[in-house]
Formats: sequence, structure tokens, C-alpha cells
Amino acid sequence: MAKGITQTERDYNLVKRCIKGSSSAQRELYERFSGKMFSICLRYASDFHSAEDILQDGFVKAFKNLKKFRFEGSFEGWLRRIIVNTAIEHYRKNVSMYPILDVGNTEREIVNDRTVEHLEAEMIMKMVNQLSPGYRTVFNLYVVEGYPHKEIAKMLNISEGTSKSQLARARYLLQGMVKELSTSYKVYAK
Amino acid sequence: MQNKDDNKLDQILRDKLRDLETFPGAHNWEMIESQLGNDESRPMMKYRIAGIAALMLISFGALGLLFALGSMNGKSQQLASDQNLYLDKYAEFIYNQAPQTIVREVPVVKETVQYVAAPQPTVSPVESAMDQILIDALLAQINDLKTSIEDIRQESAANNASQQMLAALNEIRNDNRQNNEADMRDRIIAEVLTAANVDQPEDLANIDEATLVDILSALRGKSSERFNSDIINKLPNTTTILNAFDGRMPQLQKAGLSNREMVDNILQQNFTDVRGLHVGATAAVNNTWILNNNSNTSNDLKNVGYVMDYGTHSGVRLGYDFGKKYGVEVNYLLNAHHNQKFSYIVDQQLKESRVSLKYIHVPVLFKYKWQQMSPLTRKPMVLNYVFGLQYSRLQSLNSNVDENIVPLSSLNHVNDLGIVVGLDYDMHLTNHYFFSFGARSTYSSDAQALAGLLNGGTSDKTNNFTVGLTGALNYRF
Repeated sequence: MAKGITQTERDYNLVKRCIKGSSSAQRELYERFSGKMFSICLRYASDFHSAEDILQDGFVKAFKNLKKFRFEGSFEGWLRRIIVNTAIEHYRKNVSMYPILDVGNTEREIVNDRTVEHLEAEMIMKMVNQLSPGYRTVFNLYVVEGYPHKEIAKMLNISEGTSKSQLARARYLLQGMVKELSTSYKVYAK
Repeated sequence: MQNKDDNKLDQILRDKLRDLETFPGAHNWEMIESQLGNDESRPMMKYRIAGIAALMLISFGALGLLFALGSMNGKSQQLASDQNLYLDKYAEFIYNQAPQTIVREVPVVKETVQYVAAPQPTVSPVESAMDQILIDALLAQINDLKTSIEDIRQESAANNASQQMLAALNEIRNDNRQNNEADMRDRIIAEVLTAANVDQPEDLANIDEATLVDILSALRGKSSERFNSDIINKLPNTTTILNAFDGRMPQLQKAGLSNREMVDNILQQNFTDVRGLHVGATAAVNNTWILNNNSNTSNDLKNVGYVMDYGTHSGVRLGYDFGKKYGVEVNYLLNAHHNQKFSYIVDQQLKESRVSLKYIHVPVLFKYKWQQMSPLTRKPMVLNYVFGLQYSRLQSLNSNVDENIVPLSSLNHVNDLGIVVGLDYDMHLTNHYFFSFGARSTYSSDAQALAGLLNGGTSDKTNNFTVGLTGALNYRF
């Protein structure tokens, strides 16, 4: 039985072609990952055009640094980190506009997990985008990307406590949005 | 408990968001590609930039020259006063099919503007109808062109004014060229119909010929050749109109004239037919060498020489031209004097004697013709290559030449036959009259002697070799 080529190997071949200077491979690589990467950008950016800027800058960085990719692990993960870092850079440029403050203890909203499970991803995305930049950035880094608070603090140049409080506040706001949406849905269903 | 709940919620959100795909617009890749500066696109951009720069350079250069010529033209008032120059340039402007650069067009426009503003008194008040039609149409075209240029100048932005102007001028020029011909054709046709007081070109066939000739003469007027030929040759309906005007058109076609020659013939009214009967009166001057095989046989004679002596003749001619190429002609030449002087030394004295012969000549000639229109007179010119046979009858003979040189008996031959070659040049003066002048060479001998020679005998008769210049005034029926 012939051994099938895995997606990772296909990605590696694509990257190798890009390194050799193939513009068609660059285009192919872009088309393969631009959907997911743009979603990341949208979660971090304050508006659509900023998301496009992050996407463009991120891909340009990736293409220019393809030779640094060690072909260890997922290329998507490598590309994802570049995009996230680019988003953080954009965030840093605007940090004075959106200062991240310690918000102290936050009351906890009780939200049924099943309610969240039944929400469409696009709806969750909209809720995340309603968060202020500081909350949104910490939430994305911690919840979606999986960065620990220590690293987030370093990336955003804030304290770990601030990162935690921002995350707590983000959760609180999101749960509130879910609860409100759930109530509205029930009223509407009646 | 709270951490556990948070982790669970985070997991749900992570799963929902992490693999979400939202596709960006296509322009993002173009932006990325341009920032990457791919090798394929980089040279293209260079060429584009270089091309745009060159185009701008050329455009602004042309624009600068345009304005420079415009300002220069203001100092050249004398150009406007030269109507012929104006007409020449405008004829070239309209009818030169080859694309011209904008640089050449601009002086035409400027000169025209000056011409409109200050027409010169040197222009003849007796402008023909054709000239007036043409000038009116041309001035209208010029003013339209000027207006268009001004509009473009005002409306065009500074950075692309020259390009737009060049394109618009070319477009206007092409339109004008096409419209002008159509407009000119319509104007001429309308003018003809109005002058003849009819509605349709076909109705012209019912107008009497004298009236039609008058109309044509009025239209012809003083128009120069370029308008009568170049413009009219471009008119598709010319043949129709001329056919209606002149019932001889089929005859001209049958005679083998080209379309242009027919147009010229009819419009110029100087030559209605190139074939048919003609009569004329002719006169000539000649020099004759009376050649005698028996001359200089005496030992007492030394250094006999032929001394040039002139003779003349006059007569009538009757000819018929079969067409453009061929014709025949018979001459009846009376009092044809042929004189020859001889100088020789006899008894140690120089002596000069003379032979005078008087003939009637009847040459029968075949003519091969080469015909064209004269660029000066706009009338036909015909070069005739002439060759044929000639019968000559001796009328009188006088000789005081020594019998040892030219015996009188050798000169006394009444009936001669000869061959004739020559050139005639016919210049047509009016519809019916034409003048001919040419050169002839004839070699003749006694008819009986020729018969004897053909039978293997010998002859002691003299032969006449004549070279002459002829002139004739002819009337063609």
C-alpha cells in the first residue's frame, strides 16, 4: 500500500517552492492560508482595513523569512505566530489609544456552556470584536492562541496581573453578551 | 470550580474561533505581491515607468512646439497674404492620405485664422463658383478645428492636455478629411443642379448642350488644376454627373481615355473628341541633298561639295484619327521647292552651281500617337510618330550644274516614290483647332528606276534626301 503524502508534507513542498522563488507557489500558499490568517487578523484588529493591513504585513514578513522556517512542526503554526506577532505590533503602535488598565475583581456571569456551544463562530467573532482592544488582545492571546499570562505580559508590556484581570473582564463581558443574546433568542422564540 | 468552568468555556471558544476562515479581498494578494517585488513584476514596472516618462516627454515636447509655432506664426503676417500657399497647404492637409504629425497641422490652422481675419485684396473678385465653394468649405473646417482645439485646451488638465489634444486633433483631422470630401461632393452636385435648374443629376441629360457648357465653364472658372483634378477625381458621382453633362462621354471611353483624362476633357471644355476627321494647312522648310552616283566623274573636277540650300513648300492635309493611339493622314503639298548647291573647282576656279526642283508631294502617312494633357494649358498634347510612303511629281527643273557633276538627264524624273519618317507634335488650342509642328525626313527616287532596281537593273537617276521642319494649323470636325 502506497504511503499517502500528508498535508504537512504538502505544505513543506509548497514552502520549498516559495523559497526557490516561485511566484505561483507564493500565490498558492497565500490562498491556502489566507482564510484562517485573516480571521486571526479580524479578531485582533479594530476594523476591517486594519485587519487587511495586518494580513498583508504578516504575509510579507512570512515570505521574506521563509528560509528561517526549520521544517519542524506545522507550517500553519509558524505562519500563525507571525500573523499574531504582526497583529501585536499593530496593537503596540496604537497602545496609547487603548491603554490596558487593571480592572480589579470582576463579578462572574453564569452562562450555560451549552448556550455557547450552540453559537455560530461568526457570532462569537462579532462578540469578541465588540470587546475593547486591550480585553480583545489578551483574550485572543490567552484563550485562542494559548499563550500563558507571563508571555502575554511580556508581549504587551504589561504585568501578569493586568493580563489576568483583562482576561477576566473579557470573559465577563463575553458571557454577558452570550446571556443577553440567549435571552433575546428565547423572547424571540416565544 | 471557577477555573474549571473557565477552561471549559475557553476550550469551546478556542474550538469555535481557531479554525474559522474569513477570506480577504483579492486586492490583498496584489498588495502583498507588489511589496514582495517579484522578479517578474519588477522589470515590468521599470518599463512602465520608462514608457510613461517617455510619453510625457514627447507629449509635452509636442505641446511646447505647438505653442511655439503658434506664437511664431503671429509674426508671419505675410504667410496669410499668400493665398496660393494657403490653398497649397490646405489641399495637402485635406487630401494627403498619409498620416501627418501634429506639428505640420498647426501652421495651417494659424494661417487660416489670419486669413479669415484679414483677407487680402489681391484675391480676385472674379472667383469661380468652384473656388468659392471650396474656400467656404475649407474655412468652415478650419474654424471648426480651431474651436475644437480651444475647447480641448480649456478642458484638458495640465498633466494630460498634450495627449488629449494630440488624440483629439487626429480624430478631428480624420473626420474632417472624410466629411470634407463628402461635403465637397454634395456642394458641387448641388451647385451644378442649381445652376441647371433641375432636381436630379439624371435630369441634366435634358438640358441643351450650350447651357451645360456654360454651367461647366462657370464651375471651372479659374480653379487650379489641383482642385479640378484631385478633388473631382475623388468624387464617386463624377462619372454620373459627367455622363449627364456630356453625351460624348461614351465616345471618350471608347477612345481609350482614362477617367481622369475624360474628366479633364469635359471640364476644361477644350477637347471634345480625340478621334475623327481633321483638315489643315501646312508649310515647311527643307534642305535637300540631290545625290547622284554619276557626279564627280570628270578628272577636271575637284573637291565637289554639297552646299546647304533651302527650299519651302506648302499645302493642305487631311487626317483621320481612329482613336487615342492611331491615325492616318494624307498631305497634298504644292510648290515643293528642293534646291541643292554644288561647289567645285574647274579650270582652277571655284564654281558654285545650283539645281532647283519643284515637286508636288502626296505623302500617305500612318501615325502612332502618344497623348497626354498639358499641365500648363490643360489641353491635350499629342506626339505623333509618323511614317509612310510619298508620291512626288516633278513640276519643273532648273540646273546650271556642270554636266560632269549632275547630268540634266539624271535629274529629269517625273514620278518619284519615297519613304517618309518623322515626328509631329499636336498642341490643341481650342475644341476644334490644333497646331502641329514637326520634323520630317524623306528619301525618294525615280519610280521607274526603283522598278528597274527591283528587277535587278541599275539606275542613273538622282535620289532626293530631304530633311525639313513643318508647321500646320488644323481643324478637327
